[in-house]
Amino acid sequence: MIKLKNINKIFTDNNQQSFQALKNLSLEIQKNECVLLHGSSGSGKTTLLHIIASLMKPSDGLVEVNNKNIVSFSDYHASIYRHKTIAYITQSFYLFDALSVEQNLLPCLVLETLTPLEIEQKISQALSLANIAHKAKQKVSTLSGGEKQRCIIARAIVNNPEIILCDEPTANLDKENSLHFMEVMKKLKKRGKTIVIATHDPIFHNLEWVDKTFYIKDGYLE
Amino acid sequence: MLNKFHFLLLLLINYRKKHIAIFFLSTMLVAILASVLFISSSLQKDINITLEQQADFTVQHFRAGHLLDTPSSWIDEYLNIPGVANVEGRIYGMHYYEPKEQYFMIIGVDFYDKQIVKGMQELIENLDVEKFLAKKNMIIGAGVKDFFDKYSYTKYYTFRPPDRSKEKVYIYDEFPKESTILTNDMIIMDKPLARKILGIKDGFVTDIILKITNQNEYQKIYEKLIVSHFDTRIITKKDIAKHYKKLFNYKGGIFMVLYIVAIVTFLLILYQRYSMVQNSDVKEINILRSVGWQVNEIISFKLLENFIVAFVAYIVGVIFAYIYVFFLGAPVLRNIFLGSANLQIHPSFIAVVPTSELIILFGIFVLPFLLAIVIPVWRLCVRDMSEVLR
Repeated sequence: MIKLKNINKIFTDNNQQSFQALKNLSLEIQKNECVLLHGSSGSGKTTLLHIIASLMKPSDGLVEVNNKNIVSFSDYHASIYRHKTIAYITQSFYLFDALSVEQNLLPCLVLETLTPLEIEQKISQALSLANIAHKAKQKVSTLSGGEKQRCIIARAIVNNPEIILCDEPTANLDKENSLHFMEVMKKLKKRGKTIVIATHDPIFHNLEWVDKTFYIKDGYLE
Repeated sequence: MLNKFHFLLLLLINYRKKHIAIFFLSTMLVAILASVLFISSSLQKDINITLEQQADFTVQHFRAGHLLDTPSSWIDEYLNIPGVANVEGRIYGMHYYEPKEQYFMIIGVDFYDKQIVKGMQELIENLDVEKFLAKKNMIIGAGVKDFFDKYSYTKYYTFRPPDRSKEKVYIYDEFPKESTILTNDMIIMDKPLARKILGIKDGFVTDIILKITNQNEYQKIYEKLIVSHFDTRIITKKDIAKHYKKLFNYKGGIFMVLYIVAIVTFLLILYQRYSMVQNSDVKEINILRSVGWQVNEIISFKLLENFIVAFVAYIVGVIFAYIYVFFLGAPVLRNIFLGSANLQIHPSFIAVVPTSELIILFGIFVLPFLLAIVIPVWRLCVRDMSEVLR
């Protein structure tokens, strides 16, 4: 489903100094797999997720998702790809604080031609799946960190994407909320989603529902 | 599209604090500029109406470069010119108060002549004519009143006509406050009394005004007036119109300052809007990008958002201006416009909506407003998403 071959990513700053974040990295992730990307900060995990999400292009190498080379996507196709196929969950709470939980899910749905009833149903399903339905009408600014994370998950899955990418999802959560997050991921895996979690949180070690763990160090896959 | 609009309204309502400063500044700016447009259009209309009421010709007795009293006998002569509808002799002149080098304009009014009183009806609306004419009375402007008060002429003032007699004239009333500028230095009284004070002998008037029935005969009648007496100066309606326009342009100079202030304010608004895109809209754009919005969708979304803010600010500004000018009489601004005694005053402005000017104002206001956000929004949209999504 996701195939990365010989990926290199070189960043060049304004002083023409370059830094190679990913070095000849190759990996494959099958459909409905849950994969952990382990590595310390700066190892290249986020860069890899950004490349899979088509938020960034590799310096060279091949990235195939569902047998399509996403590296050659234009902005138009990359946007559609992100909208339909990918859900991206960050450690920062990128939410509209002044809107309610359910209103925060709207930007994912307004791009499609849906009836108000369909929108309502989709939001309701996503909120239930993310265990945040009881806070649907509450403003995001009044939520706790864990609740905000669940709101982000609900927004990520409202469009029923195939792939869920999580970048340090538990970095700002306490243990209870982290466990809660894992429960939601487990549920999503059962529903056939492909999940890639970039983390260095030991809480993810030895989980039965995690299929593979990749260790990344200094841009190399170990 | 409707869903997107619904989402846009949600953002506008819930993030209203973000727009409130710009909204108020813009509303104020539009209100000021629209007020100027309303006042100028109203005055333009006022001038046109005034000009319509003006006589077609004013004939003055002019000899050797001096103005003389005009013989009343000319009135009958002019009445015999075919095409002349109405001829009237006017009595007015300046009274000079030598100790303080102060001039007052004395106007003699025939209070029983409805045609003459018509032009002044707003000034002397509630006047009891019988009572007014029962003794030697006058109605004075605010400037005259202040002057008289200062020198203790609280009940009457004694004029000294050229024949060295004394004319004790009682202060009957003051002109309405609204008419301050026009009537500031004005004194009106009964025509024979004015004649005596100004020393205009019987058989003479200050000047003669003529109205004609058919404008096609204008030139012909003008020529007849010229040849009827060689010691005359004939002022036409066109001359008066030119005079008004000149005055109006002079007033326009004052408003250049106002416009410059408005432009500077507008530039500040644009700069603030530009900076706001850099700060407050970043998170919003990042979220939309991350959930799959395309660059053009985000730009059109932000354009629509700002268009709504600008449009509502514009409409509210225009409504405020309308109320300020036509209901409240444009306090402060009106004094700048009506600083001339040559314009006929009205207690309130004639309601005129200058559609084309308002459309131009809309374009001048809204387009730069939108342009100010397009570039920063576009720059935010096309930057590397990996920098912001952490």
